Amino acid sequence: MQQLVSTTSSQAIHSGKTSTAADSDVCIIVEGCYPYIAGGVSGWIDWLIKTQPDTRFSIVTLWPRPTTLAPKYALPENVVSFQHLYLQDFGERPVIRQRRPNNTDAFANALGAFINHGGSAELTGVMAAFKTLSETVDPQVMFNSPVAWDIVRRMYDEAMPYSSFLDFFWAWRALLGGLFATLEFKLPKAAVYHTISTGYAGVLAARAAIETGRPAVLTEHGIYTNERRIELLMADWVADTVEKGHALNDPRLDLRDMWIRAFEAYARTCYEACSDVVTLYEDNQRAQRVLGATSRQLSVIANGIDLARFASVQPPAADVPPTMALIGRVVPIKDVKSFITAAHALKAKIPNARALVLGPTDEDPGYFAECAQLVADLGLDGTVEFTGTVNILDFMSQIHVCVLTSLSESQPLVVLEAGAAGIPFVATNVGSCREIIEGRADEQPPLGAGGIVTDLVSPQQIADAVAVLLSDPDKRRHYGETLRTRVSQTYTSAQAVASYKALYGRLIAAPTSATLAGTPHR
Amino acid sequence: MVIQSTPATPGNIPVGASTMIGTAVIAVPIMLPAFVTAVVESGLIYAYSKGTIGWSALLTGHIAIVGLLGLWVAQVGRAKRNAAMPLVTAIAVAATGPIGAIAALAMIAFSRPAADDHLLLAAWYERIAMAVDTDEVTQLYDQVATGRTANLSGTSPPAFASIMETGTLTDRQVALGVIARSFHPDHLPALMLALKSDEPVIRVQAAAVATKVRSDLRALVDRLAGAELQPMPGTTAAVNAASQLRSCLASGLLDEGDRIRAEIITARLSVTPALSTLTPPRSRAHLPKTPVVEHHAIEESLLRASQFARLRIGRRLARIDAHEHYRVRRAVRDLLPSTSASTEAQ
Repeated sequence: MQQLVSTTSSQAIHSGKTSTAADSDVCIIVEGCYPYIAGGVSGWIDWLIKTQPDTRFSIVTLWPRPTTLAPKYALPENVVSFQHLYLQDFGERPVIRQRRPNNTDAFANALGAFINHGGSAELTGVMAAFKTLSETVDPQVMFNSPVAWDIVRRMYDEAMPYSSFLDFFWAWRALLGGLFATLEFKLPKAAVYHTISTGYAGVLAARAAIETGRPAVLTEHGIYTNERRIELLMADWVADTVEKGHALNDPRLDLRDMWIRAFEAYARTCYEACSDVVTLYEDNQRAQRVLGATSRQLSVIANGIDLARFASVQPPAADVPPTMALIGRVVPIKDVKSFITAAHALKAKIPNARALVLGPTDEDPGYFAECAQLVADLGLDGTVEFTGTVNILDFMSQIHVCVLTSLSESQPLVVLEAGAAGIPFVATNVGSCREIIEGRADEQPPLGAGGIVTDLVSPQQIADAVAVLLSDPDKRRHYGETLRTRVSQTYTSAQAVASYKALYGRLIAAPTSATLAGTPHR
Repeated sequence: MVIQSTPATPGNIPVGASTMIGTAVIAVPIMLPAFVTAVVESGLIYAYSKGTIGWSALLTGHIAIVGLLGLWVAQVGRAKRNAAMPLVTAIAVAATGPIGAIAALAMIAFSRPAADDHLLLAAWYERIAMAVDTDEVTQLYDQVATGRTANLSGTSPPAFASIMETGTLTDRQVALGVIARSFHPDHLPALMLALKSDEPVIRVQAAAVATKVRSDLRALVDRLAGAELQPMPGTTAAVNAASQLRSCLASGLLDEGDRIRAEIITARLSVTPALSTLTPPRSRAHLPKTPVVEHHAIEESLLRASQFARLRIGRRLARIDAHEHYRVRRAVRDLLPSTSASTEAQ
C-alpha cells in the first residue's frame, strides 16, 4: 500500500508536538533479533530507524535470557532508549515465606481464559488480577510460591488432566514465566508501540495499548504464529503423553496443543489490540484474518530497494556460459540441495550450463558439507560453484537467470535486486515471490511475468524453467525487463519510507484512548 | 526449580499422578507379634507368681521370647523392609518384659506411619520423574488409569491425501505434524499435495516437513551405513533394517548419494533372500538383471561371510548377465534351488 505523507502528520513528527508527553515517538518491540542478528528483520529495523531520522525511537528487545552475541548494528542517533526483556529469567529468586494471598482463584481464572482464548478483554483481566496479587506478593517470589503451585494445579485439572503433570508443570513454567515477565516489565513511554511480531512481543504491545491508551501497530514479515505452530507440530522435544494415533480431532489436550493454543491466543490478543496490522505481501493477510485481524486493520507495505545501486549492471557478454545463480546463505531453509539437483537436470539439457551459489557457507557447516557431497555424488564439480560471501554486484553481469529454491521466505530482497538489474527470476512459490514475479491481482496496467514460479522441492521444474529462459534469449530479456519495470513501480525504498512516515504521523497524532482503570503507567 | 515450601502429599497430588500411588505401599505387620509377646510374657509372670514355674523357667522363657523377636527383626531387615518398629519392640520386651510389649502395642496404635509416607512419596516421585524403569504392564496400567490410551471408540481418521484436498486448515496442519513425527512412504502423496497447496501456510509447513523427513531418513541411512553396525544377512535384525531402508528408498526424498548408499546397504542385508530366489535361466532372455551396485554389495557380503560357493555362483551369473559365453556347470546347478530348467546359457 502506498500512501502520501499528509502535511499535518508530517508536521507532528517533525515538531515533536504530539498528543502525549512521550519520551519517544515510537517504541519498537522486537523478539530475538535486533540488534544482535545480522540481516532479515534486524536489517529491516535498522533501515526503518535510519530512514525516519526525525522520529525518536525507543527499543525493547526480547530474549530468553542475556545473550552472548555481540551487537551487529550500532544504534542510530535517533534511538533514545534501549531495554532488554528476558523471558526465561523470571522467578529465580530464592523462595521466601510470605503471607498467602486469598485471591488466587481470580488470577487462575483470568490466566486460564487468556491462555486458552486470548483477546484484549482477557489480557485486561490478567493485568488487573496480576496487579492486585502483586500488592500482596512480589511477582517474582509469587512464581516460586504456593500461589503458583495452586494455580498450576488448577489449570492442569481444568485444561488437560489426561496429560503428564510433570511435563505440564515445566511447560507451564516456561510459558507463563515469559508472560509474567512481560506483565511485570516497566514500559518505556512512547506515543506509538510498534511490535515486529506477535508472540510475547505482541503481548507486550497489547499491554502497552491497554495500559497507556496509545496506539499499537504490528508489522509482520512472516506469520509468527505459523512459524511457532510448524515448529511445535514437528518438534521431537515436546512430549506426547496422550496416545492419539492418527486421529486429528481427539478432544484430549496434550502439551503440544497447549503451546499452540497459547501462541494463537497471544496472536489473537495482539491483532485485537493493534490499530494497524501491516505485512509485506497480501498472501500473509489470509493467516492474519484467521486469527481475528479485520480488513479495517490490514494493510501492505512492501519492502523496497535502492534502484540506483543496480542501474549499472550490464547483461552477460556473449562468451559467458549459460549461468544460473542462487543468491543466499547455504542453509537448509534455502533448500540448496534442490538447486544442485536442478543443476544436474539442467546439465542434461544444456551441457555447458554453470550454477553459482553466491552466499556464505559457514552458517551451517554440516549442511554445506552435505551440499558439497551431493555435488560430488552427481559429478557436478565443474558445474556448481560455491563462491562464499561476495559482493553480488560483481557477479550480476555473469548471471543469465537467478534462482530461489527456498522453503520459506517473506519478501526476499534478492528477487527485487535481480529485478532491478533486469535479470529474470525462477523461484519457488513461497512468500511474496509470485506477487513480485507475476504481479499483484490489482496491478494496473498488468505487466505480465518477470520469471517463472515453481512448486517447492521440485528440482526438475526448476531445471525446466531455467532451460526455457537460457535457450530463449528474447524471452529472457523480456522477462528481465518486465521484472525491472515492476520493481521500479512498486518496490522502491522511497515508497516504503513514505508509507511508514505517514503511518507514524497518523498514529502519533491520534488521541489517547481510555486506559485500564487503576493501572498506572509504570 | 523445586516447590520447596509445599511438600507433595497424596492430598495435593494432581489427579493424573495420584492414581499411581497405590502400587508403592510398604507395610510391616507388627501388631500380631507384639500382642502374642505381651500375652506369653504375662502368662509366664502369672505362672511364676502362682508358683507353677520357677525363676529359672521364667528367665528361660523370657530369653526365648527375646530371641524369637531378634530373629523376627533380622528377617524384616533381610527383606529390606522398615525394621525400626520391630527393633524397638524387641528392645522394650527384652528390658521390661510384658510391659515393653504392651508399650510397643500402644506405640503402634497411636503412631502415624510417617516413615512409610516418606518412602511412598519417594517411590511416587521416582516413578513420575521416570528415574526408575517400570515394566510394560505397569506402564499400560498407568496409561489406562490416566486415560492416555488411544481412543478406540472414535471414528477412524480419513485418508491424509483427502484431508489435504478437502480438509480444514487446522486438520491439514495437524496431519502434516503427524506426518513429520511418524513418516511412512504411504504419506508421500499427501505430502506432495500439501507442497502444491494453494494455501501458503500449508505449502510452507509441507516444505518444512519434507526437510525434516529428508534429514531423518539421512540419519537412518547413516546409522545403518557403518559396516560394524550392519546385522548379518538373513537375521531378523537384517530383515527389519532392510525393510526400513526400502521405505527410505520408496519415499523419494533421499539425496542421490544417500539413495545409492541405501541401495547398497539394502542389497547387503538382503543377500540371502536374493540368492535363494534365483532360478537357473532358460535362455539369455531370462537372465536376471541385477544392478551393478547390488552385485558388488552381494559379493562383499558373501566374502565377509566366507560363503565362497555362493560367491562363485554369483560371479558366473554376473558373467552370463554381461553376455559372456559361459556354461553353468552341474555343481552350480545343484546348488541352485530349482533344477527344472535348462542350464545351457549359451
